[in-house]
Amino acid sequence: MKLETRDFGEIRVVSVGDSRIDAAVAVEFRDAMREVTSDGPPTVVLDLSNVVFLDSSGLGAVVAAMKQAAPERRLELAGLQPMVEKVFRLTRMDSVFRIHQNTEGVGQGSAHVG
Amino acid sequence: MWGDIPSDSDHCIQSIRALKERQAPVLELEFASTNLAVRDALQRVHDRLLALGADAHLSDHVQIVLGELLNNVVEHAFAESSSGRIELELFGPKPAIALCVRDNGAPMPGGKIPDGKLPEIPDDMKGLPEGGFGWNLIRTLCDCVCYRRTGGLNEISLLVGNEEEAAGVPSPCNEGASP
Repeated sequence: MKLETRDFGEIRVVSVGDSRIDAAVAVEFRDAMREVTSDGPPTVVLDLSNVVFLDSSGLGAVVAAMKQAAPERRLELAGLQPMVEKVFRLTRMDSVFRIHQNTEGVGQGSAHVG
Repeated sequence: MWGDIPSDSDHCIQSIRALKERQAPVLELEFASTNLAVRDALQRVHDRLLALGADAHLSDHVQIVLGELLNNVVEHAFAESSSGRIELELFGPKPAIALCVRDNGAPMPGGKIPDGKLPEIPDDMKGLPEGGFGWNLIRTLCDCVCYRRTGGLNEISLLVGNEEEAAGVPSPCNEGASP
């Protein structure tokens, strides 16, 4: 599971390179998230724009990633593709995360995302 | 056995039966009970449905539903052992998409499909659920799901995107089943 990180002041953007976060990689994803949220800026935006498939294992891993980043860091999401957005909405987990449309604007002097 | 299916879904169950009687499967797969084999099967179903001109939203729903169903088989029916065999038949996509999945793993606890209630979302982040979403997604996105245990096999049939014309044959989903 390849995660790419870029820091913009108070925000770290973590991009998922894989197109799927499913049962085959959920544990690996969670562990990789622990690494990239163990230091750095207080806000971490997980960019899911490459992810076209996320199952409930993947959803659980994203929730676990938020829990393990807290309380030092806050995990937010960006770039949810239609199917991924649907899984968050149907499970009501969209109410738990701050969700940005995309990560445009980060690194252009703005402190806000999406 | 489909005793937990409410009677208002009888129509839907008949639709599955009708589809399976009238059409040959458009895809048949047999694969091992591993996460990677499940991923491959999902991709094949997706490709086949798109090639047959299925609606993209319905095809997405099939991906979500089938992913949850097969993960459940790998995790629970086979307890993460890779020695199990899973068979899948795909029907449709017109007038609806039906799937039939068989496996030789352990039976469903209580002989029926879980209710699929969504886990509670507590105020405290530490208590947030990290699982328990799967059957809710399946039940929400399927028109109906039925389960039976037969000849040492689990068999789950489900229907996604039912249209009225799929119905018409007044026989139950499962032979020998009693409502």
